[in-house]
Amino acid sequence: MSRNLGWHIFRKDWRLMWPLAVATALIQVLVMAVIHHSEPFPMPESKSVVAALLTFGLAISMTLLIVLTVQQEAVPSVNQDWLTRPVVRLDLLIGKLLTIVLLVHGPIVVVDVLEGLAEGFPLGPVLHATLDSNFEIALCYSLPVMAVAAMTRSVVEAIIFGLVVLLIVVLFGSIVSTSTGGTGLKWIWRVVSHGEVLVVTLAALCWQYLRRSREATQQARALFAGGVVLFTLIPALPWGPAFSIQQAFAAKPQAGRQVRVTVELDRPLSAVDAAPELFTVSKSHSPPANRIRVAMPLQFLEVPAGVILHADRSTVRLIRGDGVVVYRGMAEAFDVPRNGLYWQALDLPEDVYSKLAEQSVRVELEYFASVLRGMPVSGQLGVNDARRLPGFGWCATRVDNKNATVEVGCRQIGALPFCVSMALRSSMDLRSPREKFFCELNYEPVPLRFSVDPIDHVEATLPLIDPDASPEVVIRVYEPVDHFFQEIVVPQFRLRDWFVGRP
Amino acid sequence: MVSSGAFSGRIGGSAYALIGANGAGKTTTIKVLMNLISPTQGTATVLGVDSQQLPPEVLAQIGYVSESQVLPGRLSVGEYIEYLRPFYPSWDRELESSIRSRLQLPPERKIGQLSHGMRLALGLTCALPYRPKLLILDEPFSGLDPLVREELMEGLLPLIGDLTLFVASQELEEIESVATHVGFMHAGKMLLEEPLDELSGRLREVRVTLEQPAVVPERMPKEWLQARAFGNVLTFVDSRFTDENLDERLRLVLGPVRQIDTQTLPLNDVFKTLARAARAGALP
Repeated sequence: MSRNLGWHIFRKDWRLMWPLAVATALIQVLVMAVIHHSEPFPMPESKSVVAALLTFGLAISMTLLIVLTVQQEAVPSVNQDWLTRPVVRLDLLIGKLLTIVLLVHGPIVVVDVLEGLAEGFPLGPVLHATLDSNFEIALCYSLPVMAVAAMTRSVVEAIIFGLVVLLIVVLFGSIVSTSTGGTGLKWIWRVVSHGEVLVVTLAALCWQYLRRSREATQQARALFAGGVVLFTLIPALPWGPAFSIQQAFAAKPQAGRQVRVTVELDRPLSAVDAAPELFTVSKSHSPPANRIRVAMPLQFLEVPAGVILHADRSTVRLIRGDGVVVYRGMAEAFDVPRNGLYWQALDLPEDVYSKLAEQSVRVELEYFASVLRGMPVSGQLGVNDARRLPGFGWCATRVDNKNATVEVGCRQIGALPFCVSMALRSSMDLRSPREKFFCELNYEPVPLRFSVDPIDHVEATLPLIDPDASPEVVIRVYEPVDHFFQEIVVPQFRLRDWFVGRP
Repeated sequence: MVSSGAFSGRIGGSAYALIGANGAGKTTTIKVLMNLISPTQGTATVLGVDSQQLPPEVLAQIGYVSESQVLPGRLSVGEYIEYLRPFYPSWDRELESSIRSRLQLPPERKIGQLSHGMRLALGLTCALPYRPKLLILDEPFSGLDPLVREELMEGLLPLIGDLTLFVASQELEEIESVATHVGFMHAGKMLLEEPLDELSGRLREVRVTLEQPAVVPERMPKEWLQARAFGNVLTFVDSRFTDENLDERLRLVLGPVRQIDTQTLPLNDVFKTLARAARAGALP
């Protein structure tokens, strides 16, 4: 009994499942053939559609392969022959994991490595990125699917169970508000949620396989469902502790210390015209109905040169003369403009505004901000150029048919910097060019790429003003160096004086 | 899904026949024994181990064949046997060859293409070569042709050696020759359990020829089952039969008796008698 028969069980599963495993591998190859990039620009739309369809087919095929393999020895069954055989459950679990590793992930690894090598990346980083992305696929897909398959008797049962899980995620996800999602701190809940998925999935699998009690299935299902509910609650991680964690990882903890924020109440309201964004509908979300927008001129002082100052979160409280807090809300995240002047929009409920418009209220603002420092120029490319740039991988530029814009594309094995600026610098004009930012904020202290694609990419379009001036594309990387908190108190603020309209 | 009552199971080297009507709970009981389902209450012990905790070491000593057993249909017969071998340290390949040749299973045939009977034969082929201490058969004969049945009971089982057989079947003729113990289940309850020879000894058909036309007495001993009268003859099954003072006891109930004949019941008739009595709530 001491002999490990995991491999023996895997070989039996291979005998049974090889047609589906081969079909899955073939779809992998097809996906690679379609998405293979001959140059680092986005695929044409027609190709994208084919790639999306093939990827969908691949997901179905992988799911079937996992579910059918696991259910060759369905634990909840009452009739299957294997249940009365002296199969060591750990061997069975190992056998099924081997199937997932070798038949599901094996082809993905091979295809991804071939794709990375075909795009000219060195083997070491290709392997590293491929293993990273496969870990992500295993954690977010293969293992949860395996757990669902292990707790059900048939494909239909597995689909129903999977739909229930999806329903829980959607239902709770729509109720639970996320504090860190969409901010640079999102890596914290991603780390926590990945850890939770790993622990819950492994616990459910071990519970199901290693306990011989017939109640194990119900218990494993309850454990898994509880884990799913917990998963949906993780985005509600409190902001304060998350920001403290972020501060603990700051690369240069003092970099934002000298920044000060003042409210310039002597600035005429007419100056608000210089901030047209106040009058446009928010791009990131639609404000609730019946809101009145009040604008407050903030001046950020002593912002170090060459940095982006990003307010990750702003909160506002309006306090009446008698000390009662009459409004508590949040404002949108923003980047502080180069001149330091930022019109802070306060979108107040209409009834709050109408009651307080003529009164003098105390305003308390809190800012959780990050300093992103621009690194020295990271890469330069001519127009219609293609080369490998350190840290950016394979980059190329091309001018569009109308000679109006320059398209820039970079593909890198592993992670690209999360925040880069690109600018067109003319050889005739050596002043600092106007940078265009391409940032998906992510302040993770070490690269934790939560992606199923081992190749990262960035695409940009820059306006071409003077094609004859031998322009070149200048790429700069911005990295977070500090995270700080500031509170501003305006003792007396009359809302009516700063009314700008409806958002 | 409750099977209540108790049976010893400690009948090493013997054969236990679990009998009962359809729906009596025989298969449920066996599934509880094999930990395929959990008892709603109580516990079951197999080879001294709680059935819900049967470890691989104990399972390696149990053979189980059921007509509803799900086998991997896409493996061939040979592949499946080859797959099972390493799980059993005591697997005897010579015995396996012998069983395979006797049951004539085509090794290359996919299990999914086997007939019901051949599948049962495969189940037997996969349950015997490791010489189980306990062989549990749940309706093993349905679908097996008579030759294979005979081969199983008279040819194969003796090959295993010191084997305890636990069999639930409606094919009572087949198990009568080997059964040493009988358990009778009705509506999920074990109503009776004893050695077959004792049961045969005490359960007799009694045929009494009277001096006058026979009538089934309105009040008769509760041990008398299935009493019926025809002409001068009254026939019944005495469930507590004993020779002692038989004449006298019969005369007391029936009056003058001309002749008394008794005979043991075949297992099939035992079952029918017990089933009818149980259904009527008259099982003493």
